[in-house]
Amino acid sequence: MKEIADAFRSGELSRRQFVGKAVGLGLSLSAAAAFLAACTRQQPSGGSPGGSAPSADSGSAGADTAPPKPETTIKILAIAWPQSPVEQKLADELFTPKSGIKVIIESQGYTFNEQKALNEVSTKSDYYDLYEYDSQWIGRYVLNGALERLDTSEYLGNAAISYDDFYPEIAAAVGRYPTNDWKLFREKDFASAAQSPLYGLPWSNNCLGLFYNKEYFRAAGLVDSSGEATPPQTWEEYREMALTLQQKLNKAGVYPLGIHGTPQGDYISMEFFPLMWSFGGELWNPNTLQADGHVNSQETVGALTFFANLFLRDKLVAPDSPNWDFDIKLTAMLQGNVAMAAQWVPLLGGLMEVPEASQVVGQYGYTVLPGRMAADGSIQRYAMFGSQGVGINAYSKNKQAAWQYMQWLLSKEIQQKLSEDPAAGFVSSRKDLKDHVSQLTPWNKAFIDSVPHLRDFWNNEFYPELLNIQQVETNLAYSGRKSPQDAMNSAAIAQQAVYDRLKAKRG
Amino acid sequence: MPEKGTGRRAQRTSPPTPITHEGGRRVTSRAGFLDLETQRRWFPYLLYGPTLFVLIALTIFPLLYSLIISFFEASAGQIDGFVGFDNFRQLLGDPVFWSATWLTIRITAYAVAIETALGILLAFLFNTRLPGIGTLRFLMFIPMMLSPMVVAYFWKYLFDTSFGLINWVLHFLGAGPYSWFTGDRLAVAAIVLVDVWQWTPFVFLIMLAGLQGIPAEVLESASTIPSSIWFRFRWIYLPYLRAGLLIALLLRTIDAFKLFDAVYILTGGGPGNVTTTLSLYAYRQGFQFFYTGKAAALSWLMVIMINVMTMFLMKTLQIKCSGEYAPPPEPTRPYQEAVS
Repeated sequence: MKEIADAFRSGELSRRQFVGKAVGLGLSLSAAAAFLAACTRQQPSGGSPGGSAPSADSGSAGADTAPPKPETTIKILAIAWPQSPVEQKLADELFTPKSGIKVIIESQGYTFNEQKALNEVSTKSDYYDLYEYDSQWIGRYVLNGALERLDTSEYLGNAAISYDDFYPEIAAAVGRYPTNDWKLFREKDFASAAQSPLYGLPWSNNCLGLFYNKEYFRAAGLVDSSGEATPPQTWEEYREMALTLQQKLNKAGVYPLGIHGTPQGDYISMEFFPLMWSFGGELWNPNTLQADGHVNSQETVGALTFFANLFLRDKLVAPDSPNWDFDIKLTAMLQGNVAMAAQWVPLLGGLMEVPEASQVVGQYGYTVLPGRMAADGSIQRYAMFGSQGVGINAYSKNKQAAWQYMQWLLSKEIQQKLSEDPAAGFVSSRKDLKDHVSQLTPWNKAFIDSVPHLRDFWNNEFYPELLNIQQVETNLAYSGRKSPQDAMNSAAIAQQAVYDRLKAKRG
Repeated sequence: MPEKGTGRRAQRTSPPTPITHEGGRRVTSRAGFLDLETQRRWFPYLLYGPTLFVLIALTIFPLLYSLIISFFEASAGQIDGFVGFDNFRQLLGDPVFWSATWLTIRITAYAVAIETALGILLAFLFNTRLPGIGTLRFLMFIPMMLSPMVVAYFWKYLFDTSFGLINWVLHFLGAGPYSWFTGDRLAVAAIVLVDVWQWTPFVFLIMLAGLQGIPAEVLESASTIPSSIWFRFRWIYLPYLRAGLLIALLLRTIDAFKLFDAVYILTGGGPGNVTTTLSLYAYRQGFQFFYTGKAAALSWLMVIMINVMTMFLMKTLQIKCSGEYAPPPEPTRPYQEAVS
């Protein structure tokens, strides 16, 4: 046995030959494997993490030694954000050589990712080790038992990162289930939200900010005393400024506002919800699961009337705005056909400044979305939340390696590197990087400034159906086919039927 | 006159000659575990066994499985409980289902009618021996070789009100701009137009093949008869084109009824649900809401509708279910009338 071990150490025998000979000598396979492990550098193993969690630097190779050949591969199912290729590059360059864990990030478009992930989740697949998911999907993941709980001694109980490293509203919205969106976002009751189990941590961070073309603003005289373009602070100002732009720009093919109003996906709702919340409207009461009196309330209908009139009465948007989707709106913005639009920061801020893609380089300003003046003179504003989380597949065979990767990815060093690469369209949600990342770019600053105003909606398992009802009815009102009141009354009836099913399911 | 029982049919139906015994001893295979009679009996099954397996595994099993889950409350791979006809009842009680059905029928009728007429017209235009005609024909076939998603995307950009080429041309001509996808009728017209652009070449291809299969002597004879264009088409060309035409009509009708890609990309079913087709409605149930049971029920309703439609078409167009075609009418009477 000693000769075999010496031969293996000196490299004369391969791992396979070593195990074969050891078993031939009567050593059990598991004993041979244990001996082999003892002879070699410690590798991450599969199964439950157990014991102390590895640090982000575990398995680090010395600078003078050749990087070890990866022994473990983890696969990640991700949304195809610009962050994914940058993350992959960083993982290949920094994580794999140190840890011996090869990382494969498989990115899919948003819609296809949602479908693919749910298929994986519902079939209890172990193919992917980590899921990068949108905040609204977490309900279905958890109900299928597909995410590992992280608030345990095996994970965050003994780790290089902490839940408290991140903005509480973001960490709770993408990581905890169930959450109550009134308590979390309206009442800012983070302590109550922290009672729910934790299944993930922030992966990508986004919210809607206001993109405004400073040159168009200057041309229309919408400037302050120093000649700087001044973005609107309230929705009323937003409309008035758009009317001014309409009158003074008078440029064919250029619209004061860019609104994607299609009933597809979540597009029209993303435009409408921040306005609705600042008008005092609501979608539902998450405590009583009631739609009536909320989605069709006077405030919600008032907000929808204001919103629809931007298209129907004021004609401040393109005539086919009720069919605009993400791509069309983005193209219009990049071509300078839109003076002002809500758009995702930091995801798309950098894109506006890429000369190969944009005809408006250096023209856009980035700020928080407008709000509504409250009785006390403050501005009640909301920023549509659009962040994603990362969690460990509960059926994964490489949980320890996956957790090691998560800790590395969410460490201050890597979050800073991701934030500093403009191609990633990324801003960290780590609190200790707040000042640093907000100074990097104006769109990063817009995100950081928006954090206190973030708001999310429906992260329960019936979210797709509730959203579809909302999308169709909002689009019908926006395109003038239904009155705002009728549309929201229809939404209330249809959504209540869904809430009733949710009630029955939750008992 | 062959002797009774010696024809092909008799050979096929006569019992096999017993060759499995040799001197009263059963002859076994070289491997020694199967006698020749057994081998002979099972050999055909061995040959078409793989085909049967594939057919059962990939067609019959999924069909039956989808039928079974249409009676269950199923969601994304999980089957919860038997609900009888509840999924069907819910669908039939949903106004969106009925508006989607009516829209699907309208789109199918418009698209197939235009594609057929244009396909025939183009086949006549391109049935000539001019230099470069092969290249032109190839170019005509390109749309149907493209992915429907790609086609829908570039049409979406062509139709765009702000920067689309179509509105730019219309504006240049003093018309428009039109908001193609926000008006109910224009949105349907745009969807039909995209389908017609992509699939007219399919009808064109079949009609061209039919035209080129007409014997030269028939065409020569026809050219000597003084007659109108309609007369020639109806009584000389159509009988030869009929079989292909009926196949093209059937395939296009079935395909257009399942239209999904163009609608999904161009309008997403909007405004509201105005352009939601049955396939898009099924997609939403299955892949957006993840109601697998309901989506399966809807798919079966579509299968029933398509079958009814196919049978109606086959009956109307005189195709027998056996797959044999009714012979084209003899064009003797009109010929005689024309000649006289």
